Amino acid sequence: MSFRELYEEYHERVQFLNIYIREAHPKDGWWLGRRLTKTIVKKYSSKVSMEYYDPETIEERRAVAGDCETALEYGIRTYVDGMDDYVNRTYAAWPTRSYLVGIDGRILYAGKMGPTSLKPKELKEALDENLGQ
Amino acid sequence: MIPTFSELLNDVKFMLSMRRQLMKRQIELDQAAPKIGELAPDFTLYDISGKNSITLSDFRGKKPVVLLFGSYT
Repeated sequence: MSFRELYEEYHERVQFLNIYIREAHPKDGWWLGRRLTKTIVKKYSSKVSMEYYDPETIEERRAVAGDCETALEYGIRTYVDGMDDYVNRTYAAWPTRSYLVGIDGRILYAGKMGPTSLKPKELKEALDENLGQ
Repeated sequence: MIPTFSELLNDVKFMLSMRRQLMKRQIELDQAAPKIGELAPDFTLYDISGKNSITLSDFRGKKPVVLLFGSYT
């Protein structure tokens, strides 16, 4: 079960927003492009890049977000967090996380911090439960 | 190029250190994250062109919303 599969199954009934936030492991930060870590990360997530620095301007951030959108092929339009990281901080979103927000604007599902606790299957269960399936 | 034993040892130390830091951050961030039943904090963001915006609260009364947060690295 992937997010892309979830999108394909539910996108007519649910709005999906892919939100690009501050880079998790840029070359000038907590980089995973070393020998062993690179091998392990690539084994579990082949599309993750090791080649980007953390963007310093919103234009750079939009450009990397565009590269990410193309590479990950979610099919979901990407929106870009501002350089103040407001949305990232508000949703404790770094490095990756997912939520389901109900029609009334309240949170129906709040995933744990990814990538190890990012569970598309849990999100699917929340979608099914709340969409009446 | 084949890594030396020393290089591999350094990699393992790095990974163990990273795992410890991640576990610590996970506790902090999971506690800070909005919880089930709370009103989702509103926001307006622009797409990669910088021209098209979206506001979360615009979907209230219309559709549920899945938020997927992440980056490229």
